[in-house]
Amino acid sequence: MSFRDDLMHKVEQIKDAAYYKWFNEVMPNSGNAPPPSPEEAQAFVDGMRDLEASFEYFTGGDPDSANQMIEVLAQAKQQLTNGIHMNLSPAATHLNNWSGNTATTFRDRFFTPFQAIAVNQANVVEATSAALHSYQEILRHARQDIVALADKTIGALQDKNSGDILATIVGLGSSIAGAAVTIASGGAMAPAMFSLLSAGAGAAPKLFSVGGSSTKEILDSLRNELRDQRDRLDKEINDLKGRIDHDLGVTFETTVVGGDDRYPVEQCCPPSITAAAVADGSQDGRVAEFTPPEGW
Amino acid sequence: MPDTLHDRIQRINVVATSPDGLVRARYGKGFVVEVDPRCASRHTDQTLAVQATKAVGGALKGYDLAIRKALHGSEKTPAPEETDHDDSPRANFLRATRLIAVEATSTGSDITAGWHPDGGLTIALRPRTLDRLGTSNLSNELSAAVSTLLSRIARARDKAYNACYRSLSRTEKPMSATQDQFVANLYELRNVARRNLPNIARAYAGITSQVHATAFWERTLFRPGDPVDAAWRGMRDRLETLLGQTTTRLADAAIALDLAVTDLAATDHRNARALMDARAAEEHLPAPLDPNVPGQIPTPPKPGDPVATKKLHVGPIMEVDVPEVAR
Repeated sequence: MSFRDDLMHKVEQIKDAAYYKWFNEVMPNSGNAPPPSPEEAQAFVDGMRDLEASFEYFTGGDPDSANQMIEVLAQAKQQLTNGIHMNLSPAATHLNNWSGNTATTFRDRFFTPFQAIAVNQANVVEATSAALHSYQEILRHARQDIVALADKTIGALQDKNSGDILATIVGLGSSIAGAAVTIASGGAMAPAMFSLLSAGAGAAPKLFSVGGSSTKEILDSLRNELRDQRDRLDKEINDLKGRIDHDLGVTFETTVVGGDDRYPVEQCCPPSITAAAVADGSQDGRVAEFTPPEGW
Repeated sequence: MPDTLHDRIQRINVVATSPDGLVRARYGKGFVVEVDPRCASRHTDQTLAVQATKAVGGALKGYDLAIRKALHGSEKTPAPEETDHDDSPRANFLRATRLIAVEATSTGSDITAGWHPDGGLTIALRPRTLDRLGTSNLSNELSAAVSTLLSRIARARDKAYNACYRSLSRTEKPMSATQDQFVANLYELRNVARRNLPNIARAYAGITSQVHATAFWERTLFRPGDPVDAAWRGMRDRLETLLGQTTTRLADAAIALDLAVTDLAATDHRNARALMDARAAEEHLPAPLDPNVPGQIPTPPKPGDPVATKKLHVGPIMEVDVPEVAR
């Protein structure tokens, strides 16, 4: 059974329990007064239709889908941090023996910065993965909360002597992992930090209650909590979106400014190098700058 | 994204058509010959072979011009200067390549493709081949025969190369210590161009495909209309783009460096020896990647490309689609 089916089944249980409780409330204690009419009963049932849509709001998406995405991104990061460097190290050794202007240009402008670029790319992969993890946690906690809210409501409606029932559910925000990602400049400049995944940090856990002395009070309190949960979910989602947009800008849009410790995409991608650049203008296209050692 | 050397080489796809328009030869990532069904009624085996020879020869010529243009920016590359008295390894090598003669036959021996001294191409069909195979099978057999022929030409060229430079090593004086060092340096540079950089580029193509594969699951992960969906996709797409750019820029750097080393070795009598020694040393190693050969470094996917999937068997009867992720 899918999460949605499971939750909608609980909504049906809420409606059944509410109807049963309401019917007992409106049934006269003495035999002289009439029981509720079919129209009154139908009106009560119709009045609960909004609950389905309210719960439905929390069923979208599938947080488990993020597992495979996070796993694949972890493999990509592993490749960038270990696999790439296995080939970079011997290449660096070989290139060190190459002398001349072209060699210097190739090393300084392409190869040496590339080693820091691979690290930066790994960090961006990490940030991309962490954003997914945050989203996954937001959805998971929203689901846990909404299921707990439904269960508490059913309990409140089934308790004949129910007074106030206090349901305590930890809020969404407190569960989201925080991480900072470093983009290294590859040169002498200080590394830049950017802040993805502090989304939700600092949001206080919320206590909320479902209860009341009558069916109406219990259902009204449920509606209040559903609205509140929806607002909290929307806020968490918008916070995360804002942080992704912010870090996207930091990583890909910002230009290097003196004193600013944020770096543009050039720190994450090597420059273009062409055959002409290496051939360095020699007339027949060969490398004029490949300098033999002394005594050759 | 700027048009890179790697892109240009990857895109080369030459199509040549026979004079009668009924045989098409395509040379890009592989060699494909297509024989029009109308050939069955219009040609004998002999006349069809002539048309096929012209189409295949045209494609080979076109591919050669396209590669020259991609590498040098022009189809007109200067002819190597040499005289009959030129006994340099390069001149010997060029003479040897002009003497290459190889043949390849199709699996059923119905088709023979031959390469003759000074670059003459012939394709011959045994009598009644067209009747026996039909145009569809004939297309496949022709494609296979020409592909085999091209591999044999490449091998013969390698053999000539080794022979020319090996003879040099036996006649020259021993190298000095500095010469040794220079030879080692050139060999190492060539290794960077043909081994390290292409390996890194291939790894990047794999990483790009891993990041690209996340698109397979995002359809189910995000809630419909969720603002995080677009934001995250934007981030992933930018990451994928820069990883793809890194792949092609590494491939370009490998090609550039390889050109530099090869040109130097081929035009300098002494430096050629370095490359010869390098090749000899490489005989004990797995064949290096040639960054100039299309397809050796996979083209990385771009944002929005469909995610390639494969079937995964789950239990005895059930199968599910999963993305093909390079590992």
